[in-house]
Amino acid sequence: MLKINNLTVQVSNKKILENFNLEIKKGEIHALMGPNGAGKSTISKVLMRDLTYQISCGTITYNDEDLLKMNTTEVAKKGFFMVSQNPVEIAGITNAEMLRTALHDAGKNDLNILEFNRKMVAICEKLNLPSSFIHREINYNMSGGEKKKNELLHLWMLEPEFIILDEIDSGLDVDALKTVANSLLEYYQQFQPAILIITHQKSLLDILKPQYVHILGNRTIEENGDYSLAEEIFKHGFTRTHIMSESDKDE
Amino acid sequence: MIKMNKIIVKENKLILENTEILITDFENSDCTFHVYNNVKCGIFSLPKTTDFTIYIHEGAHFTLEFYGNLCNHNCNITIYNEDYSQLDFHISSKFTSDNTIKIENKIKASNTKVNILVRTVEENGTLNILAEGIIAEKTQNNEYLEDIRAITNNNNHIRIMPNLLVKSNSVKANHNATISNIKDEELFYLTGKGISKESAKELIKSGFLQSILKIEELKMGGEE
Repeated sequence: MLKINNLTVQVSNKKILENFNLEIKKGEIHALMGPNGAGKSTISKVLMRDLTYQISCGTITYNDEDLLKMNTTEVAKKGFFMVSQNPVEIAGITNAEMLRTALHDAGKNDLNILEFNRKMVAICEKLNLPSSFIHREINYNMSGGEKKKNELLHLWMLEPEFIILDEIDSGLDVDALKTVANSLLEYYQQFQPAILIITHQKSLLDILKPQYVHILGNRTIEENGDYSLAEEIFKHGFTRTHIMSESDKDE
Repeated sequence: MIKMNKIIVKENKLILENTEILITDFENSDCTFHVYNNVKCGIFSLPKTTDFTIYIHEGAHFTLEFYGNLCNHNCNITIYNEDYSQLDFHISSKFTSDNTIKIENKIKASNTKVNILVRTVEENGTLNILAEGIIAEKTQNNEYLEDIRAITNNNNHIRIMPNLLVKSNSVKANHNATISNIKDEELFYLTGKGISKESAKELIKSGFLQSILKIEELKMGGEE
């Protein structure tokens, strides 16, 4: 289980999150919503141990282990996996090369090359991707939709237990969004991971149906609820509860 | 593709026509290439002192790729192009110790295409690259690209001098030189997949080097 207690995060002496608390158990889907600039993406970077974000106060534990003492590799090895809204392109490294290295470093290289390829082909089919994606360079020269599906190809291969989806619905057309969301739903039903969805769009939540919804404003979680809270936000907007980030106020 | 462990060229003259050749060890320090039609040539290892002169004859397309390590190398490459010829020249190399690469291409013909791509990774050494392209007057319809990039831990160890002198109005010419460290965002992305920092750095370096290679057998031959 993930427990975030009293967390304060800052970048270059500017507080982004303050007194932030959140608990996520295995098999739970949580949505973190909030206006632009509220710091939603910050929490995904903090969990993945991006050291640009300094922790000045608070704790994060995962299955009673101190996450803040881990580096990014160690967090990923614990089963964390983040899909960001604009995944990095790396020329020259193929998906297969990267995944084989990742599986090897995680001590999960029990698949021989044929089984590995067979599994990759099956996942590509599931994601409506040509099998040539196995040997495509990581996200290089891919459209926005292809990049997200490519990240899901990695997800299915690495089988994480804690998934962070950071605004992955941005830039996806209707069909790509359905494919991505349905694939995530299938993964959820099969493996029961914990999922944290960061978004302010409706479509992804309509398919994944989070059991818990949190509204971020003024650098902390200001409201908690179930899926009906998200529906209310979609209907009336964030201003209905007078939640507004400091940056929005300044504007 | 013809694979050769070692090549020694008699009278320092190598004539290549409609062929694909992969050379593990190129022995001649001094060699003149004459290229006709379509030729692909991949080389893994060069002599410490290399003096190559390359003639790409009319209508020929020459893909020349070097993928290997440089260590105390001094390479001079002079290129001559005839009309309608095309050159894809790719150097992809890690380097240690002190090295110099000098590429000189004077284009006096028309309707030629030249792509010179260099990717280097500093292990622990110095590298000077001088890429000199001259597009002569009264030439037409030439395309010329020099793109030289290096990854380093210490920028002082690499010096790139891309000189491009264009004397013709009818040309598309471009040159670029970049020296940088491994990008933090790439490192974060790969470590976020559970790859150790050291493995991620090696992957990024090898991907950077391989990104320009077109000869699959050369890529698969890998590094020493």
